Amino acid sequence: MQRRVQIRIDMTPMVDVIILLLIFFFMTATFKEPDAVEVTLPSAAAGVRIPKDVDIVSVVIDGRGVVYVNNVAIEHRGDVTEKVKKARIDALHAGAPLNKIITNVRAEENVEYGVLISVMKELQAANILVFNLEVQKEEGAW
Amino acid sequence: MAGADIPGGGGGKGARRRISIYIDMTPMVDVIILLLIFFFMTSQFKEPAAVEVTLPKPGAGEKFVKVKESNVLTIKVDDAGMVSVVDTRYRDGKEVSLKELGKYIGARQTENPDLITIIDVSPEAKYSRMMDVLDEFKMASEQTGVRKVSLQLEEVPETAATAEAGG
Repeated sequence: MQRRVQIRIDMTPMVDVIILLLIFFFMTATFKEPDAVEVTLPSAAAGVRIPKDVDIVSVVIDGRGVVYVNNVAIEHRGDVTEKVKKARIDALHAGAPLNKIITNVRAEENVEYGVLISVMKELQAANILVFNLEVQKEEGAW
Repeated sequence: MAGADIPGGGGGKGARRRISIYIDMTPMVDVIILLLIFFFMTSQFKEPAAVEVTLPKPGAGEKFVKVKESNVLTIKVDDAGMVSVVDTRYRDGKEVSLKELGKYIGARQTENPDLITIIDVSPEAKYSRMMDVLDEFKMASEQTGVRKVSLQLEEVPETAATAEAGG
């Protein structure tokens, strides 16, 4: 009497691993490096995506008008120029090409515009004439 | 499909066979993977977006470039965030709501492609108001192709630092 040979592959461990991997990727993809401060960005429909392959010098302005350069609070207003210059030099030393270093200003939407003016002037003094004002892309605008 | 698999068909020989239960998970796994791929692709990642700003070289504000008054459109935002436009056609300025602003800028730019828009926001106003105005300008200029904009960084108009919003 001839028996039909049945091949069964137990997929349970494979499925376990797949689900774990997917959960892992899901979690790591959505979490990003935490900022020193949470800011609510202003929304704008004209915002364009920030390219991913760049080194970012981040300038954060929180709701009280405190300025942070690369997550370090700036104690004196006039120091932003110097700190941003230093951050750019550090990025250069780390091997980033000059045209890939982007200065990104994340400012709380409710902060007084005067703070922005002074920060923009300090960037200008540091000869950083092109920078990004980070915004929250308005819904349904893509 | 849960099938109780009783191997052999010759039964009835008295030998007790162990019943093994196999659950075929292939379809379930297929569906799970498809669902996960679907959610992965459709979920909107919060991508950082930004408006690029280009400032003139330091000291450039000391050089003067004469422009015709009719080529200038000044948008003012006061401390409270009220938006008004200074237009040669209206002596005292005209209040414009943010919704109309984009259309207004667009219309003026179509009339006059040399138009320079000056965004003059009070330092006491909220930053988001300035971004709203800049946003309206950008949306309008995307359609008309007129991109000249100047951010007033100084309080004294003569030494205005101009900025061109790139894009």
